[in-house]
Amino acid sequence: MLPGGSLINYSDGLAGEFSLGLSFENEQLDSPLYGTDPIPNYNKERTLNSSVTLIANYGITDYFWITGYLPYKNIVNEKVLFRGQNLNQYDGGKYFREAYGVGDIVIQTRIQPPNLKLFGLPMTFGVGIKLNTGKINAMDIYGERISDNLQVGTGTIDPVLSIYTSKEKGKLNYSGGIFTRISNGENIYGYKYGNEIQTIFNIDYLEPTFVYGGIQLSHLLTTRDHYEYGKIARDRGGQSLLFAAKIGTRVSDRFDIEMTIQKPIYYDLNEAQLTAPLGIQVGSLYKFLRDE
Amino acid sequence: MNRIIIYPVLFLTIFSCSLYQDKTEPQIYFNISDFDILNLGKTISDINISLDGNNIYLTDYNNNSLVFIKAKPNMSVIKTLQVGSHPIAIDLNSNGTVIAIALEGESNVLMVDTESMQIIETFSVSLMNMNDISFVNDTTLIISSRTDPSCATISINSGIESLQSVLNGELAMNSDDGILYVATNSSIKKYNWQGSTFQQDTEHISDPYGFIATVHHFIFDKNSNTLFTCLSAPDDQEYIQHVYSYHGSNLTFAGKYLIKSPGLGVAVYQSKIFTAPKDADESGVFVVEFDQSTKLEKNYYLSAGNLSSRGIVVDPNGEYIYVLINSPGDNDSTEPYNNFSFDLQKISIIE
Repeated sequence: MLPGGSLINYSDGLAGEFSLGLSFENEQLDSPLYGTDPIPNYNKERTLNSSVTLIANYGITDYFWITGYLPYKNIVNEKVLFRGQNLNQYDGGKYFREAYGVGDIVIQTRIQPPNLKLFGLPMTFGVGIKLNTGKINAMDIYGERISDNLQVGTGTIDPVLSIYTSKEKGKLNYSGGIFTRISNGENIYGYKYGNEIQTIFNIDYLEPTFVYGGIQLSHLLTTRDHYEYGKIARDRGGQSLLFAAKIGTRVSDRFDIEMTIQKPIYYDLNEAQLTAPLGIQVGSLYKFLRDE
Repeated sequence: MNRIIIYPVLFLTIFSCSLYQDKTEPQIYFNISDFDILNLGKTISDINISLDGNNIYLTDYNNNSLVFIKAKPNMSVIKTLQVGSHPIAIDLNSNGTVIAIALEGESNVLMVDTESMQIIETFSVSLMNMNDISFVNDTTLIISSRTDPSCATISINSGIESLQSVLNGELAMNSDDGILYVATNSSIKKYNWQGSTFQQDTEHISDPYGFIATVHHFIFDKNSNTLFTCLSAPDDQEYIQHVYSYHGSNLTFAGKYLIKSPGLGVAVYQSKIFTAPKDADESGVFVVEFDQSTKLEKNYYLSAGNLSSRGIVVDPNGEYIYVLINSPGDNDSTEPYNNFSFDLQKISIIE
């Protein structure tokens, strides 16, 4: 789930308008798949990903906005080790790893050229960067650095690009977009994340009443990660198709709260990976109107 | 204006597709494909398989029983037979009709008919704390003990016990040639069957290990006339990282199989050597298949838990290996003093 990505009011800001959002995401990865098929979880491993993201959006002009995402993450991984699997805990047993702190900040600018339409649809282009503000040196209780995919940061500054469009028809708003993060080399520990591209299609019910709702279909494709000197990481990357339903409430003209539940429909992963049967997001948005 | 923006964007989009393709694949050394696990929750001390590969026999050490398992097509428990205090080792006769059971907790040896799954004979012996048993031939058994100084034979026909000048240890019998091999805690010894007594072949004794070993498993492979032994050394001494093999003829080294930790069990099918390491790899616990000619790893089979001493057998048809596994965290027993539970996993052998 994109942090705050389903909040419907981000793209309609005007010049000088400022909004603040807060988004909470949670997922528990405890269901291993091998490719497309479920497999037993021999180590009884699970990872709990939680994050709170502060989202700030400012309209520089009516067609040009800047948005910042400041995440705070907490990642806890638990598994039961076999004998000898970790020499620091030779006899095996329960083993925990935890990382928490500010994650990678994303700064994104978006432009919607006023006269540009593709198939009659207005297009919004986003260009941004994902900073390397998140720590990547969290340790386990034995002082060993935990694996990269359990760190709160990635350790690299990566470009983030997007194309987005939306159209209102009757009481429904149809929107869709493509978001991508392109990996910009190895972090200091030699680990290089794969590239990521996410395609999203939303239908939102926009009748200006107290309650609104919508559904979302998204496809996420991630390429393999690499270790130092180009060694290919096993058990990373793949593609997934996800369905999400959301419900929100307009507390006032300026304040929205919404909740999204995400469920995977299809996975095709590289080798064996943990997946989350359910994802939950709760988001809120407060708009500071221009005359304030 | 539209074209100036849209065409470059489309151009870049199409040409950036390669960013989202994995052009290379990692080397896949193992697959995760075998989930056929029979949940037993028992402390198993020995395992054997019928000559046709359809049945598996397990000695349930804590519950004093022999467990009959149907192996194919799906594993299931056929019968649990109460046999006496702490069954520790079993062996099958040459035509697979009788199972001999050595009890650690009482001085009895039992004979069980594999067809009726009933006890057909009980022999009282003088040994205590028995640890291994083997058919010398269809009329004689040899038993070793942890605490008695030497092994004993029993005539199945008369029930007469004879103490032998054979050191105690893990037993492996070459019945065709009447040769008994014993893996003691210091070296491997060879004894020739003389009809009623064993005579040691003093010309052929393996070199000493160099430490006081715990012998986890010891087998003889008739096809290659080779012995395989799984040893570990005391904690303050050498950390054993191989399964060792010896020529059956002269007990010289026939090969070392590197598994990075002591071997707990070994099974052989033709030129395939299946080893059960004590320690897990970072990715999990694997049964490692070696090629006997090259002595190199050929395949890795992911197992569902920690492996155990003697806890591996291979199907006589070469289709499956069966391993006893102790999965951490799956012990749901609330019985006091019972927290060590093994299950049985069936793994398909890669051609």
